[in-house]
Amino acid sequence: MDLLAYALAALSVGNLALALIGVIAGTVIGAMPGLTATMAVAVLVPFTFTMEPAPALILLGAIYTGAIYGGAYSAVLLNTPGTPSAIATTFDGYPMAKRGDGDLAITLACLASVFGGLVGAICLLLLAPPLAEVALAFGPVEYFWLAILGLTLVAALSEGDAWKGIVGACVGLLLSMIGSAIVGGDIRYTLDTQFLLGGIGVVPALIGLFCIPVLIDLVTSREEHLQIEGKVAGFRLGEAMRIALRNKVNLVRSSGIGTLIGMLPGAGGSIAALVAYSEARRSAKDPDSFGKGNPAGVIASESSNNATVGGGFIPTLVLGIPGTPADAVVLGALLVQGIKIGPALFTEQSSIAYTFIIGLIVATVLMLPVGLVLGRYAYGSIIAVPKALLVPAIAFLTIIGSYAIQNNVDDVIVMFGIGVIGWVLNCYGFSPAPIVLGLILGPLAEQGFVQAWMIGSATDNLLGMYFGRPISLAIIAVATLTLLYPTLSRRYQERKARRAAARTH
Amino acid sequence: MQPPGRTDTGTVVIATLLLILGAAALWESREFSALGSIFPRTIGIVLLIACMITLWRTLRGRTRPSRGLFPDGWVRGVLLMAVMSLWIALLEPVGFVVAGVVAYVLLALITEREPMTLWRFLRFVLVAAAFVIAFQVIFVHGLNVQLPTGTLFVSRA
Amino acid sequence: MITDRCTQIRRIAAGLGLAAGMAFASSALAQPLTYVIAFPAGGESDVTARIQEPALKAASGKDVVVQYKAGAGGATAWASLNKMPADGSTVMGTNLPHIFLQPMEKDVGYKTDDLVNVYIFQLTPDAIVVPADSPYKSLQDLIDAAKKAPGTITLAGSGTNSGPHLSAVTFNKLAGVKTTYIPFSGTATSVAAMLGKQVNGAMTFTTAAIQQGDKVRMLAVALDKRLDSHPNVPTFKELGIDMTSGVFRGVAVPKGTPDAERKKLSDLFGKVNQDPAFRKKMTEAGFVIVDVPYDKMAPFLAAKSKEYEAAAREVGMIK
Repeated sequence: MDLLAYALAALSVGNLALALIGVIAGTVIGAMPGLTATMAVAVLVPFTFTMEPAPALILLGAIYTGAIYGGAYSAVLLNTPGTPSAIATTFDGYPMAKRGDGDLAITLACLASVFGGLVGAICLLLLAPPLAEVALAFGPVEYFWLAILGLTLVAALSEGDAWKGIVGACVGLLLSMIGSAIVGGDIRYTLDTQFLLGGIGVVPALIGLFCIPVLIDLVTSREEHLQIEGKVAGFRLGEAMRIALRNKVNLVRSSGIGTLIGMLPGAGGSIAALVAYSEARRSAKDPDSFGKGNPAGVIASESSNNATVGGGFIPTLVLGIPGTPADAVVLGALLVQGIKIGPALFTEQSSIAYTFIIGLIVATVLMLPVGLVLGRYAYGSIIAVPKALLVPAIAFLTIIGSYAIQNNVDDVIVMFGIGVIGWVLNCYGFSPAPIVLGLILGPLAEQGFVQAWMIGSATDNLLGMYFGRPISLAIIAVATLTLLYPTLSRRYQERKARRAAARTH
Repeated sequence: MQPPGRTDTGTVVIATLLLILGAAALWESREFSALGSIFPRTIGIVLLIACMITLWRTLRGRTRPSRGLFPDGWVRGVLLMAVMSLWIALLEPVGFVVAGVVAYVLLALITEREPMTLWRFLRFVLVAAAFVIAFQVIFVHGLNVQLPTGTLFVSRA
Repeated sequence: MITDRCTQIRRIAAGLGLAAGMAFASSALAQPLTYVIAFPAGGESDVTARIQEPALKAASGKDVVVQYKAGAGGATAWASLNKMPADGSTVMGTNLPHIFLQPMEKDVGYKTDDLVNVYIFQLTPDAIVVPADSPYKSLQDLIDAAKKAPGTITLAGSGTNSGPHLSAVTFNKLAGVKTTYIPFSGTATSVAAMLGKQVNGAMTFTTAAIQQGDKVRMLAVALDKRLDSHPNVPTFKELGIDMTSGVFRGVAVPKGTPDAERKKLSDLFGKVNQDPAFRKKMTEAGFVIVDVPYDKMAPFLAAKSKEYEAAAREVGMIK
């Protein structure tokens, strides 16, 4: 294989520069609440039309992976995910920042993101064609069960009150049904307005649900944001690396989950991070410490969401079917360049594909120094900026971020409206994460279910459809385990304790 | 656990409202096609059940006490929401830059707890202008993303 | 504190200077052509516009600025077209059958007649596609299988009450079979389902089939005559099924645009269609160039309106 030749091409000065610029630009954009990774790629795509295809791809890939990593900054420092895939990073990242470990959290996020990104990119390099076949084996039923697995996280994410979490998830699910149904074509819950015909966008709702409550909190609380005693600590790199090594199973597993879910067309990166977080929590020795500042949570979320970058490119490059929304934009860019996408890309124009993949690996590696430096700078400046200037800046970003998605003020209205509702709910114990989960997973669950129903009825195989396929059975098993594990393990511990107590008598 | 004798009225209100929402969702779903109504009905029913359980648990005092709407005073929070609503409403009429700068300054004034001085105020205005205009330039001229221009101003021309 | 103020003043000066420079520069250029796309970046409508861009620039001497206004499957943009500047500087991409089907089905904020189409320049023909190793080697195989076991043959397609849905239903009616149409969220996901053998085949477009190359087989194409790039694929018409359909793409202008400007834009897009580099890129990807200029628009749209209405009634979309 001409891998060496491609590697040399990817390491050319021009391409290296593009990778570096892309990672820096992506990280900065991703760090700002309201500006998402997909948007970063979408607005910067037109600039690549005048470039050669391989450098263009490297630039876009670098921006994408940088942006996914950058989302961790605002997640840790402001409790708002900079991009949807960083939702799970807020769960433990922000508590860590509150107790003074913010710099550690950011360094950990960097290490985890680089690791996850490399896993995803290496899978892309070495295993793309067989993995693409695996992605195709996921049919509507598998997507349905995957969505159900995602929804079982609700119990884990509701800070102790599972029923309120279920309420929240149901609200999110109902919100996701507003608009025109893909399957069946019904127009539902639009209250006969044109405004709601397109449904509630996930990104505006996400920005609103997470950012508006934070803004209101910042304004009403007396303290300066994030008090730090003493000096701003350094990188804490050694400490972070030790924690990462202790969590190596978590790292590898989360990266695997990220790659796998990233490569499923239509599933998207935000779900990957949530599933990885849930799995990390489930298999940890101290699941209750999650959500209170356990570094393992940050590791799980950040490694899986960067793994979706490489994973998402698997079906994109091999089949011409985008794995994540940003990949759809990249595909469009390729089409405009006249590149044949689809299987031909790996066969006829493999030089472009391989040069790009190696460039992506290079960009991911570059993210380590860039991320550490930018992270320190971000940490320092967020601490230093006075609250009076920070609050309007965040508000501004939420508005421009939700507007720029579709050049539509309606999205800003949705963002703010849902944000206020989310804030009220949060004040009474209904946290936003289940609502977002419901909103994201609703279409996935419903479409999968109804499509499976239609295919099953057409082929007279309904029961076998839902319960007879190997992959779905595996997913069902994991979902059931996630639901029952806490209760089962508690009962097991209690029995053990009782037996131990009985023995000592 | 709730301090004895104090029910979490806020949660009760919310749970009741959401109960009504669930019922409304179920009601609306009568008009949907067979396939299109499966999920709404299921979710509606689950929502009803979950709300009822939450209500019961809250009234029995088995839930954690909630923070409540404004544990630290409501003025600033309400002002923030008012300014942001105004901001969004004015985006199209007065345009991105004007709305942005004005709202930025207002929000800074609301957040600031130290006594206001002229210098502080000017600083807010300068930062607001720099921030908003910088983004305007980057987005509209650099990235070709349209931002609202003031329709009030344009139609006069 | 003092350094803070200095930095801020410096920042503002830079920002204002930059803004002034930009404003000056942009006023010096001729007014660009604003091309609004009703779908998100990266989609087929976007790609088409980008491929048109160089030819448009060459033929008009103006810069082309592509903007996106996605939402509600295109309805958001189309509903806002008539509020845009009506001086010939703004065009918006339109898609058939979308602009017919959407207002037919529900109140989307615009009526088909509100959109002034000045040129229809492209057709993406429908095609029934199966995986390369599928047991159906010809359309007749598929029809026989469907006749033997009515309803068990599943075809994936994009959306409900959409172009592919109507085509699937029309196919059923004309071929006298009962296949089950399974709606997916888009062309990509329906092609993925077909490739993964979750369904028997896909009612999709030639562009999707060409992208997949050897991995798929096109059983038939909904055109009057065979595709140049695929001379072995029969048309539905040859096989006795009188079906020519697909997605048409055109451009429309705000209603207030004067006649002279409409004609100018119509000629412009006509010229672009003649550009050999443009034609080559389009046909290679599986698009078919069509030419419906402004003066031939009315009868074309009237015929299409009748066609779509009949299909919509068939599907049960309208009574």
